[in-house]
Amino acid sequence: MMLRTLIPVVLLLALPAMATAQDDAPEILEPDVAPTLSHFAEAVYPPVALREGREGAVLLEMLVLETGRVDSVIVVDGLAPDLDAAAAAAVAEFVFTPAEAGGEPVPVWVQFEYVFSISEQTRFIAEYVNVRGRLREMGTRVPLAGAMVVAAFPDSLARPALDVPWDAYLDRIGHFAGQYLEEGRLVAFTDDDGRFSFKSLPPGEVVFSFPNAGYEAFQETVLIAAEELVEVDSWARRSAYNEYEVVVYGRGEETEVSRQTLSVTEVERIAGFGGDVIKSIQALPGVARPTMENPAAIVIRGSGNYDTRFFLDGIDIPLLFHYGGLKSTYNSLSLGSVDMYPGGFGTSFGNAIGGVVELKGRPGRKDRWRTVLDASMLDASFHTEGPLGDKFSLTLSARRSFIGEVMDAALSGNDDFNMAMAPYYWDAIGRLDYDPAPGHHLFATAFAVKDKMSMVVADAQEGSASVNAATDEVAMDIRFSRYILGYDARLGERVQNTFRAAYGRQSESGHVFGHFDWEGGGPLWQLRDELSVSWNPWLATVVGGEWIRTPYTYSVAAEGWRRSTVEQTFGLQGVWANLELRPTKNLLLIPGVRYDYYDHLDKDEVSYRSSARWRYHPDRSFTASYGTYNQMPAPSGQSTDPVFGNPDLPPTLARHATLGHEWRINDRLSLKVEGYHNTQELIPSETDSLGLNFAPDTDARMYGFEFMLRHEPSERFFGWISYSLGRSERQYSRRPSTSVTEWDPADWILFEMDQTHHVEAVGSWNLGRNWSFGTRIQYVSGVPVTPLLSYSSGLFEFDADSGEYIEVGGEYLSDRMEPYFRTDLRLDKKWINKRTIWTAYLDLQNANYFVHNSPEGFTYNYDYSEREEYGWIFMPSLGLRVEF
Amino acid sequence: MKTLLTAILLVSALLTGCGDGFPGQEMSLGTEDKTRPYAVTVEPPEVAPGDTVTVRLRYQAARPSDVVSTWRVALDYATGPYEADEIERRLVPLPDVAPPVVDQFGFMTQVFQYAVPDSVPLWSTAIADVITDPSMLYILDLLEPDGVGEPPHKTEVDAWLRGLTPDDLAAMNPLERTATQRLADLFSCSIRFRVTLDANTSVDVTRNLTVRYSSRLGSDNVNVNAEITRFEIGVIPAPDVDISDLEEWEDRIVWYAFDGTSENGLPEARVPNEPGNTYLVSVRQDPQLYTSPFELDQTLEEQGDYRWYFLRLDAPESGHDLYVDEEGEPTEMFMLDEDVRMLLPGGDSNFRLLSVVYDKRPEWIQYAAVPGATVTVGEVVFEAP
Repeated sequence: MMLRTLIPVVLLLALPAMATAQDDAPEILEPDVAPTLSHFAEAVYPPVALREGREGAVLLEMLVLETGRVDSVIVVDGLAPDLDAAAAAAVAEFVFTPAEAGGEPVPVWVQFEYVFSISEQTRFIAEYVNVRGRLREMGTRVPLAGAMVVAAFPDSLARPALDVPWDAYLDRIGHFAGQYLEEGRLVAFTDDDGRFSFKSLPPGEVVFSFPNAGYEAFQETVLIAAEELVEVDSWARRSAYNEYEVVVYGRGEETEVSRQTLSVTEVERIAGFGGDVIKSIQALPGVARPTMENPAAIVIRGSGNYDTRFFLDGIDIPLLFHYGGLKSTYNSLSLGSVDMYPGGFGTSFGNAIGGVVELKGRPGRKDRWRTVLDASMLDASFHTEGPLGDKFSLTLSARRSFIGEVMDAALSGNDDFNMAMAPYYWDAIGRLDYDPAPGHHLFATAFAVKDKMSMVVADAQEGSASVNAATDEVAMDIRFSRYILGYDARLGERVQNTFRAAYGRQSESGHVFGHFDWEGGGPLWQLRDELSVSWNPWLATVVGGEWIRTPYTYSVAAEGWRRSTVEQTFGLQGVWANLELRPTKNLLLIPGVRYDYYDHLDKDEVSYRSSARWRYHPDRSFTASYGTYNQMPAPSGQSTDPVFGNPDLPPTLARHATLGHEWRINDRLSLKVEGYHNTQELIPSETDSLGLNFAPDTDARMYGFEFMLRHEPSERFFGWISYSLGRSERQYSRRPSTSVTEWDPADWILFEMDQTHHVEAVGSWNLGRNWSFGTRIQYVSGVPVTPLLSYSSGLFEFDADSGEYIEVGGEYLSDRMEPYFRTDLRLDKKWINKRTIWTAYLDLQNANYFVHNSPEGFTYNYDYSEREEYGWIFMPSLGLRVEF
Repeated sequence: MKTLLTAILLVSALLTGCGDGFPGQEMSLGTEDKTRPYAVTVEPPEVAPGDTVTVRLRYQAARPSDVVSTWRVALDYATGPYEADEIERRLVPLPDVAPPVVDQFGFMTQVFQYAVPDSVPLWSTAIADVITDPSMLYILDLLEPDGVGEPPHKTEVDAWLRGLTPDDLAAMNPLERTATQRLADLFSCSIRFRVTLDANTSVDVTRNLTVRYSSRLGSDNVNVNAEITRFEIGVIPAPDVDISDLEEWEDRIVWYAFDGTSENGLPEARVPNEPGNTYLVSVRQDPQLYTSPFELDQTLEEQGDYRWYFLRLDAPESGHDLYVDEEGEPTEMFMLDEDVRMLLPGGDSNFRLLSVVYDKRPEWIQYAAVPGATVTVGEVVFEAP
């Protein structure tokens, strides 16, 4: 196609000499007025010359008659015959306003340079979109915003005829808005919705490539046809996948000095936790390794099992784990993060003398609806989340175990197992989030959990039918629900308020044959509010309050003892206030006070807590804290029961002191060390001799040192190494166990969960090709045990009331089990499709079983003179997950 | 599928860190170089303060002549629901206990009588100095006994119960009489006998005794040791019969009573040992009825708890496991009930079988109730055809 690209350069010269040389030619006079071009005729750019890229100027002379018409054309300086001819032909069609001499039109010779320009020809290339596409992440369907898309033209030399040379064409379209030319390729970027387009791509084969960081490079070849719009749907595969990545690390200064935070991303593929983020807190420094006797225990810094309080978004929850500690009650897929406070925590948390574990839910993602289905040998779960308009998002998840069905199916009709088992658990979460305005966020969470277990032993008649008629059954049913309303509001630049209101129910029932029977239940009401005001750069205040009421009715019976039926309201009212003082830019001091009133005890306590953080280097800080703590006597309810407890028990008191150092070595590595010294007093201990069931006469002291080197998640690795060195001791006023023969009330005795050394090495590697490998290696000192004199010294005791031997213990908890060593392994493989991600995982817990199985304890023969070790089994778990 | 699941479970069970356990050990006497107590019976199993009981210790010892027994009695014994730091106070030696009688197989019996001091309830921690037990307070409120104040003190209640005569009871209306008997049932404590058997090992044997005024006041809750109504060997003419299915075989079981006398002077049964049969030993007691301490109108039946022992007389150290489970494998004591399957060795064999039947009243544990115990012994000769 020939386009108008002529730029005439007109040189008008009087050439009288030439006129005299040609007798029959018109007389050429010296003009007074030069001719002006009134009509320009465009030369036809010879197609061959255009394709061949020939361009330049042709110098012509023409005779312009007194009529203004061109009479003769002479090529003075030509380019090529075809171009010269084209130029001459065009010039011949020019029309001028004639030159004048003496007021009369006169003919004149005019010189004219006709320029053939290819770039002028490309000016006529039309700008239109003929390729439109969308780039999304494979599997997640997340649109990739700002991603680079490159169009290359591998067959440019074989392009079908373009009217202009290839380079000229490409150069021209490379200047179209939204795309640019770079090294012979066109480059465009996606918009926020992952969409991209290219304009005026020439017909033929185009290779699109998507070179973006974090994604595997890939190409797509598209055939462009003339005058057709091509749609391209492109999917980029991430170098490493983690669908539910939640980044919780902030560089902001923390006001809590001992907090450990874990995100879903970090833990999901680490071995040993079955993909359960909450279980992973058992691998954090300061947390004891749970033993087989209580695998769901969270024992922090040598405190008791009941000394740690659990929260979901600021609201109490009674259980962190389903029975046996198999899985946490809150599905990790709906979890934002887990904060674990091993001690020295601030005034926001009351009724806890050990530690605090706070689960934080998260809003549903708003980019699109997404769903995850997961099934393992243990359970199956469903999770979905997505937007509801611009301001709402919804998350729903549910999970149910089927291990009971598997076991029952296996046992049914099997003579080897004369029992029927039906354990199962389920949990469900619904959360609606609403962002009405910037700085304001509301959410409503519904969370329900049920654990149920039944084991019927055929022909068994154990215990008393008056305790429970089902003397052949062990059964348990625990359920609770929480309905939480949360409102986080930034009420100004310096004012922030956090409000929570919750209603819930909890109930439990069960019996162990006819030996024990219990049932109880009631609602929970909880209000909590915390207001933070930053008055100036040096001073901020935090004030808060919480109100909890749990009217609870329960009935407990034990074989041989009066049934206790109680209606009681367990309540806690707490208020707290903190100052956040910053006397210098790098020093933060937080003194605080908290007041708690325990309804059912009719007792109150005041606690004082303070912490300090000195950032002496941009990446290094010293931390310290000291505080007093209290909690209602534990086990809650049981210890103050009128039949099985002591209603006059006071709150249990504690003191925490910590000193630590934090060092962010680089963007990935951080090192935290902390020492602590805690004490407890008025701990309720079981007693017969005082006729009280429980007496608050046991003291505790715990001290230790913790170390954590953490590699934050990178493309290839995440992990940590933690080491806890600690000692936890108790001082018992009375004989701590009937089987104990050696004991002195002045002695400080090891706590039963004391673990001197606890080393955890945890890591997860992306191996490429969507394989990942995780491992967890534990080395833990053996727990204290009381040596049995029946085993070691030939001392026995036979109880002729029952016909059974009983243990004869030596010095209480003076011996230890062997150190515990365990390795867990996990392998994940993902298959990424455009709209789905399939994941298969194999989790091998206690993988070292076949080489060395660490003992958890001993089973003894009838008179305790012989024993065998027992320990965890090898626990393989195979699972499959699909995300779409 | 079920086979697969079963296999998974079985494999999992095999993969546990637990060992094989110690089946068979506990029931077999005479195979270890130990002193093996197996029962202390007290006749009667509960008494009123001031009454006398007969205490009988039974044990088997590899070296009977080496065993030195030392008896004591704790006049204040109490424990709570948690059995955390039980009380065993006011230990009194019992120096005048006669030496045991021993037979050729090392079975020893030591018997003595003991008069329970009148003051036991007053010293006992099991009864609070000021009565706080809701059931006792309820009855005391109902009866308003003379000399018992408000709040009622232990000494006052003890004095009142002790002072009641049959005439006083006869003069009461039925409700008052029953309430008085229930109060006597609840106003209970225990003492503990403790004997240490020193030889190559040292075994402490404890036996508690319920002390309360119930027997003196005619309560129908007074415990007596179980009366054994059957002690027999059963032969089922089929191999490997599940003992839990005995009812199906009721008409075809051949029972052999211990109606003879062995050369050791014990009841004896002679049973043909024929292949293809299933053998069992059964014991039955006549359980008493009693009322619940918490629901006075609730009548309950005693539960039996069965302990079984044996000694192979013709080959004491053979190590043969006589009592077996349904699969014919050595079992554990806690698995045994009133009917126990036996796996016989080939040929002739001769066993001494011992059954200790405890009659439990679990509802009364809080009130110092101690099970009675009855020992039944017999010898059985299995004769090959």
